[in-house]
Amino acid sequence: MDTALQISNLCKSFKDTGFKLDNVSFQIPKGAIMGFVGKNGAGKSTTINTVLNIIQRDSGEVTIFGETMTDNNRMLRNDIGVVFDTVHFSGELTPKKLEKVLKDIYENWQGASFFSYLERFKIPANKKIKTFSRGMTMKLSISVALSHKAKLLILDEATAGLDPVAREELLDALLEFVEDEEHSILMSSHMSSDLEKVADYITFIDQGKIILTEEKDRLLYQYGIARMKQSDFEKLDPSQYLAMRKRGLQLEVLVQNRPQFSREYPGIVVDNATIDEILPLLTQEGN
Amino acid sequence: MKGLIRNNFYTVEGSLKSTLLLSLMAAVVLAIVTRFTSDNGPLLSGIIGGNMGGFGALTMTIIQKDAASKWNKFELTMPVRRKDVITARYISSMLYVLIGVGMALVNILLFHLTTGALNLERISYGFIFGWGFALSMPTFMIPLVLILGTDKIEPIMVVSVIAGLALLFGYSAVLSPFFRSMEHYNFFFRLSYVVFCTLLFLLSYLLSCRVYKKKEL
Repeated sequence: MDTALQISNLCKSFKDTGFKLDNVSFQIPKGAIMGFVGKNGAGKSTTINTVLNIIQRDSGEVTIFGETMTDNNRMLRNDIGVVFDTVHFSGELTPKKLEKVLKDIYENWQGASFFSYLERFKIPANKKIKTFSRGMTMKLSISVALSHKAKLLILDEATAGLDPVAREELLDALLEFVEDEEHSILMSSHMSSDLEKVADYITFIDQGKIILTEEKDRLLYQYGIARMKQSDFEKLDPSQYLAMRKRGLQLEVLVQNRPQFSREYPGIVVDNATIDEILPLLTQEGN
Repeated sequence: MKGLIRNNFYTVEGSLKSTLLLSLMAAVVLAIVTRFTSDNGPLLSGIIGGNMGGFGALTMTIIQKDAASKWNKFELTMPVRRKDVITARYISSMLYVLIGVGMALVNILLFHLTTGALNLERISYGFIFGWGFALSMPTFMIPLVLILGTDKIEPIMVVSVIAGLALLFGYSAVLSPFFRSMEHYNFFFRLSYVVFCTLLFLLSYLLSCRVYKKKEL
């Protein structure tokens, strides 16, 4: 399997807050979209910033298309498109001026493609970026990321705060991007519904540690949440569930194989699981 | 690199226009004042130095706006090295100082057309003072902001201005006795000051490259 991004044993600690990334490892196959999920402060942005060399890692390795990500590897960064949670361009610029800046920076810059995205997203080319709404700035950021023949997109909460229509437009653009099976996306998001629509894999992170990487379809169609009383829970074999939490008098138990669990425990109700339901179970204290 | 310099230019385009306007206004003030006073030399020197210093101060605007827009974080994701980012910042600062030199020349020309006078001694003093003062902005400001953070940019700006003035007076107090015995004392002393300030600017660049190499945003 060809890998677009490989993160191996990534460690980074912060003395002031005590937070650390603890041996973060996962990989994104070529042509895949990886959803990156975790609570606030779980380490998503830190991981992304470390991958991008914006912050220095203490140890571990990051390879993109088989090459190590270093400051000197400029060619590699031509292949990476990045969208952060807010626009990171000077508000004094217009998209037209921004285009002039970027065509002198990216070797594979495609001006025609950039202007066609502006048209598609209805972004005025001659207005200052500081006058744009949040939706427009995020669409502008996506337009930039998609206009220099990037092979890997890294999105950090890029859909947060957007209205449903704008989110749909962005997600459509992302799906078009991965159509040829050569392009890949790492996408951190709080909007699990977005990830359920587009992601192929989901990686969960909590307190700087990767707790699970799984195919999205398996999470949605194989995993399940069994709801039971304490007495039923005590009869369970611990190897048959991943996590549990108590909600009132009921216990919620995350199981990896819903059909098998239902066969073995026919009296227990097992529902489909959503990413929004799985995350709190996996990150519950004690799990 | 060219794109980074272009971005720096666009980012301060508005401030650059305002500074150009102020510079032209200074030229007009100078032209009016010369009609009522007999000794315009100090004013001319001040306006030349002020012009160059004013444009040198645009370095602060770049740093502030880059940090506010988070462009300084985004540029690290682009195909440029950290060293290129710093190089572009110093080249941009130098370009602004050179625009200041150009505007100072415009002021001198207007002064000459109005008064018919050309006080070369005062003009040279203005340029020497202006060069040192204008370069002191990026020289002190860029590495200090990298080390202490953009949130402290205002006090750093004040420190840079004071350091620029202290440099001029300190250099003069410490080194002028060594030049005094020389023939063409003024020429050699002023030349040494220009070289010294330019060397400091280059040292500041090297320090900033070193600091930025490990900088986390």
